[in-house]
Amino acid sequence: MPGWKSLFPVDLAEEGRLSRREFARFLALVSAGFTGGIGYLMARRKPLDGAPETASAPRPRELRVARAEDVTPGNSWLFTYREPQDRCILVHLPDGRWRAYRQTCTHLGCAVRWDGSGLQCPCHNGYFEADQGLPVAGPPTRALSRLEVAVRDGEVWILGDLPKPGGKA
Amino acid sequence: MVGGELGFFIDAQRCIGCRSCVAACGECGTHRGHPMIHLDELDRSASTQTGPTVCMHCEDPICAMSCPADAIKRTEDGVVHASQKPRCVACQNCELSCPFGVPIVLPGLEQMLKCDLCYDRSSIGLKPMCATVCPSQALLFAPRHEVAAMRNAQPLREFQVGSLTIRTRTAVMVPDPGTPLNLDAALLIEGGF
Repeated sequence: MPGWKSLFPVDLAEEGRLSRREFARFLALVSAGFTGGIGYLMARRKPLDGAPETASAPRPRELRVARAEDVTPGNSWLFTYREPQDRCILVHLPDGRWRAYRQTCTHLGCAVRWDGSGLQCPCHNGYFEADQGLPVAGPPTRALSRLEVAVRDGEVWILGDLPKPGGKA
Repeated sequence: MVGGELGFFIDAQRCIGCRSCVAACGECGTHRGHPMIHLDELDRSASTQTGPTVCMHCEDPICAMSCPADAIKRTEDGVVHASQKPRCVACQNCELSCPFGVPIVLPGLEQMLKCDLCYDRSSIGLKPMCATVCPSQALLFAPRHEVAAMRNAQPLREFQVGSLTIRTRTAVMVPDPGTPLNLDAALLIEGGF
């Protein structure tokens, strides 16, 4: 009888029967598969802790968002940071310092806007002061997420990662 | 209820063509209204002889061996069952391969159905529907050892189809069971039966 015929027996009682040999073969194959898979994962991982990291070194996250001359003191500039939904606002304070915040209000997520002296949320009249993004009026209780700003050679750069919203004020 | 090892016996000599078996077959719980029995008029112009055909339940069921979908199964008691609905692909291999012409692929149902000895009944010792109603006992479901005493004809369970020898669970009653009945269709067509 050809080997495949035993897999399709005529007798109902034979159907689904698994011999000890077949079960052992199944176990061995599955174990070998797991061992091989884990071995492969081990092999492609980075060699050792402390070994010189070349390709996997994190790239400094920096983003040029505007030219400094485009944002005169007392004005703001809107930009997105890395993802289209990450809307942010760059503020050039009247005293010449730069600030950047995520534009999302920490109350219910409306977009805040620069009104010349602070950041105002139009939805529920929340108000954030411009220096640290702290809430000073209205329903918000948490500060705006702040981004690191640097000005180099007349260009405004945002450094580091986008902070997660929700830090307590 | 009947006692002893039960066998199915077909005696075409006793058949009167009343079609009771066909009507009863459709009433069986496992047949769902479709009669599985074939009642043939053997030579209508010359004779009133009719012959019922139920499944012979072969020892090596050719229908099951020819099934590409592994849908036809035999239980431990030797009964070859109708195709399993989830598996049957209605390819008609079983229809073409069966030397007795038993399996039927019903149009619309797209599934092979065949005589399963009324398994809901025979598995608990009851007679299949056809044997229950047959008025002349041309279809007989009885303990094997009693049949020899009941009949002059003897049961035959071995058939020759070309070079293939088929042994069956169901028996055909013949006057002389000495030699296997040759079912070669080609010989029959040539008139060499």
